[in-house]
Formats: sequence, C-alpha cells, structure tokens
Amino acid sequence: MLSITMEEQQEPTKLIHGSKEKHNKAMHMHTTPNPNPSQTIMRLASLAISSNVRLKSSDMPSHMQEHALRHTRSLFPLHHPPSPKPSNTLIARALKKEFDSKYGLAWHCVIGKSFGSFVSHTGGGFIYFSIDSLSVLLFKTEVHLVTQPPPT
Amino acid sequence: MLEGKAVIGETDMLQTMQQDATDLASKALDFFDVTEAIEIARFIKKEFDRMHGPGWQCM
Repeated sequence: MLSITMEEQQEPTKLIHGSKEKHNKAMHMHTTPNPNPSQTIMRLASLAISSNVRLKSSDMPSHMQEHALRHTRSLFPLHHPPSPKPSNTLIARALKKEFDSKYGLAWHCVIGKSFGSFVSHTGGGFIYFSIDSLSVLLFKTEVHLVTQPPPT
Repeated sequence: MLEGKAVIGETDMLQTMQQDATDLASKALDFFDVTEAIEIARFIKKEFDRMHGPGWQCM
C-alpha cells in the first residue's frame, strides 16, 4: 500500500472571505482552546487504538481530529458480510458534507489505497490518517461567493 | 516525451487548460520517477498555480 501526501498552508494574502463576520467566526472556530486538551488527546489516542486508525499528519484542533476519526469509523459497517462496505467515493462524500455543515465551507476529501498529493489548506484545516487499509486526506480551503457571473 | 496518450476521465475545464494539464503530467513523468507521487503532484500543482492563478490542488 502506497499513500503519501504533502501539504502547505495557504498564505493569508491569498484568502478571500465572503464577509468580515464570517472571517471572525472561522478564526474563532480554529483558535478556541479546548476546555481540557490533555483529556481530548487521551481520548484521541484510545480511539485510534480501538478503531485501527493511524494519524499520519495533522494541522487541526484535537476535538476536530476526534470528530473526523469517529465519523469516518462510523461510516464503515461493523459486520462486513451482511452490509457491504460503502464505496470510497460515498465515504469521502459523507465526510466532506459532515465537515462542511459543522465547520463551514469548503472541505475536500480524498480516500484511497494508493495516491500522492500536494495541496494548499487553511490554517487548522488539514488531517491525513489511515483507517484499516485506506488512507484519508481531509482539508479545508477558503471560498468566496461570486456576486456576479463572470463575463462570457 | 513519455510515450502514451493521456486519457481524460471527467472534466469541467477549458480545452486549453486540459491540454496544459496533460502536457504537465507528461513533463512531470519525464522529470520524476513514476513512484515519486508527491513530487509529481507538487510539480503539476505549482505550475498550474503559476499559469492559472493560486489555489490548485493535485492528487
């Protein structure tokens, strides 16, 4: 199994936000300290052991990491024979939609057994881990609404 | 130039940019070994950022 990834943080000069209010909310989301970080880290470690997850690289608050690992694990059926495993595309879609709804637009998710990547992401919005034999890359990029259609 | 033809699976991109993508992929495979996935992805992403503005991702 070969799965490797590289990432770089998007420079602040490149970020365009829809509104100042949205910007502040997003920044608050990334910088709010967790009430008990050591407890979360311990939970994260035990979750990784019990769920056969390996956290390979991360730039993300620990509570969001935990959410990513738990949600991904929940997308796999417990007993494979009765319910077939969903396709990688469906798992990626579900994880992307979950993070879009919980932490704002725009998240991207890639799942597979063998891929290389090089991506730019916003601060606090990157995680790369493996679960069973699959590797999962989840990262966030800044988006802004286009107020008028581009000239044709 | 590497022998073989690029096959486009799905696209939502101008024809000229599609051509840039396939040309860069061929060039990347000339520069790097096929196992150097990160370097290939980095090369294509950085070139697209330079040619078509920042914010491209490559896997």
